[in-house]
Amino acid sequence: MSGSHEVHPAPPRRAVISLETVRSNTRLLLAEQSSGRVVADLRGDAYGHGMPAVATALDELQLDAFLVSNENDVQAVDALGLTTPAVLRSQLATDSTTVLGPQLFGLDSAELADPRALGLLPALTLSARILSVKKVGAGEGVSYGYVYRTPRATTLAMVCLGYSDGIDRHACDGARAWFAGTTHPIAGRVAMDVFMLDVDESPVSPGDEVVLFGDEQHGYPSPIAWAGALGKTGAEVTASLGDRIVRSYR
Amino acid sequence: MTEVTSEIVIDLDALRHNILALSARVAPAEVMVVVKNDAYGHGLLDVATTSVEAGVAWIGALDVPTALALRRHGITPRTRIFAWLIDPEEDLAPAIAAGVDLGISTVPQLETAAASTDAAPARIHLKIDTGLHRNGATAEDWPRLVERALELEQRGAVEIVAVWTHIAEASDDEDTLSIRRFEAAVDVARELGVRAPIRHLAASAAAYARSDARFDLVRLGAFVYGLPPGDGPSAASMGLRQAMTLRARVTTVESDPDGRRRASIDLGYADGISTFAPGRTEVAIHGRRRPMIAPLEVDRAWIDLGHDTDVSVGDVVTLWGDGSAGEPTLQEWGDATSTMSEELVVRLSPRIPRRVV
Repeated sequence: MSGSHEVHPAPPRRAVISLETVRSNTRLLLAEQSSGRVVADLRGDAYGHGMPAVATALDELQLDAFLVSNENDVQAVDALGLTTPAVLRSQLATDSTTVLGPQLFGLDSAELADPRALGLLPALTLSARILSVKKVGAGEGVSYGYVYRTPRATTLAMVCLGYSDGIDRHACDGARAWFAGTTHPIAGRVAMDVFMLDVDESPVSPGDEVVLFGDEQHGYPSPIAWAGALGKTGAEVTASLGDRIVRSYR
Repeated sequence: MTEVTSEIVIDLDALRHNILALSARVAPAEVMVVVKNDAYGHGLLDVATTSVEAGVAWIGALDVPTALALRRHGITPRTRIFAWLIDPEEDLAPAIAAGVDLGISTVPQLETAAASTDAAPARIHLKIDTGLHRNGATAEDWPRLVERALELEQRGAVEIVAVWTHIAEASDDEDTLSIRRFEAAVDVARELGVRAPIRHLAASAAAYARSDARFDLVRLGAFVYGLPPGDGPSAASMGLRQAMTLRARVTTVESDPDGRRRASIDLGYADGISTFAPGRTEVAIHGRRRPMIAPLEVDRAWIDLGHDTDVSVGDVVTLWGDGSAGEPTLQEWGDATSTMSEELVVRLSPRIPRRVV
């Protein structure tokens, strides 16, 4: 059985990013601008979406500049050979410049609470593999500190995302993840590398996929709802997703 | 000039000190140093190499990719490497060929491991669930898992190295119950024919506090890095040293109309700074504590200076460290932001430069 392993399975932790959604969000926002410079804010690795891929995807939209965090990022944009220049915060003329940031990705922020009202859609879908499943009885404690007790006999799925991936340790206080057509509660403290999902009676097997958030049109929790359950904005959530999560683009 | 103005500093002497202090405390139990998540943000290879040089015989890698990276970078099979987060889609053959020990919880995992070697047997650690309800076989499934492992051992496909579990640290009583369940599972394994397995149950807190939790081997993560749990004794009072310092330079100083000043640093929530930090945590500048204030931006944080004028652009801000420059420890940060210090360190962005001293 050892020997050929050319076929790489899908990575166990995935963020799939729709660059077309980023572009269509940007076009919608540009249509609302009457005059002045427009800068796309790609700080924080484009709020976790991957700065090089997003910058390349937006280059055709003739934005005035990409806002980045430091000289390393300026050089990274320069290396892409685009027509849109990278600028730093200190180079922005604030009065006549519109900065478009988390809304490009359909995310809420301190400045814009409801991007959906503008027709902006989330670009990133976060998912992870179920590594194992376990049937447990009613009233059983789950994960560190036993802060979750099973309300009934149920099935627990161990999902390979943890707080080191940017999933808050206290996400058990209200966040829900999508599996097999509906959302389920996170059971117990999120650990460093995994969390448990209480999937109740849904048939489930190791290898199945759980979606934490994405486009609501597919039935997934929106990143805004996910972040809201954690007392955060969507921008804060996606920008702090860890680097074990493999980004891919479509 | 917006250069990168922040850095993570890792004190390898502190790590060495902690490893030796903890090894002495848990002896005769052996120590496994857990290096998952880039050694809790401290640097995988630096920590693994330091551990091996300090006499540590076991490294806890979490998963197969991390274990293989360690082997590739020169951690020889003389040092045992343990991987326990097994992806059902993963090819285990390279790990087994590299002499990586695998944590096994289910019969399907066991069959996969056994089928993934045609040379040396797969070294396996059988896991029992003693209450945490993550992985590990239930007490009901345990005899079947052990029996199948013994059959495969006789065929030379696996070698049963250890029996292990993971406890919830919910309370002393709950942990005692888990220890009893573990002992019962070890007895079952022995009765079924497993000879002298290595037994391991405890992570840092239980290994430090309870001699009855240590068995043959303890898995030490947080305490190796000098990170005790919140709301308890400090690292210093436990004879441990925090190994990580996080620093940044002041990048702007601003005054509001009534003369109140604030300083910024180029670390924000995208760098892993907790969104709960403003208003709840402090940093040190020139040895003096200053509060972090809102807003926390994607790549910038703000510090209140009151009406003081002794802080300028370029001054060093220490966010956390061992306290020697007046700064808070990670334990204090964890308490202030309602989490554990581990969450704060593993969420730091790999974009922040790291320097080893």
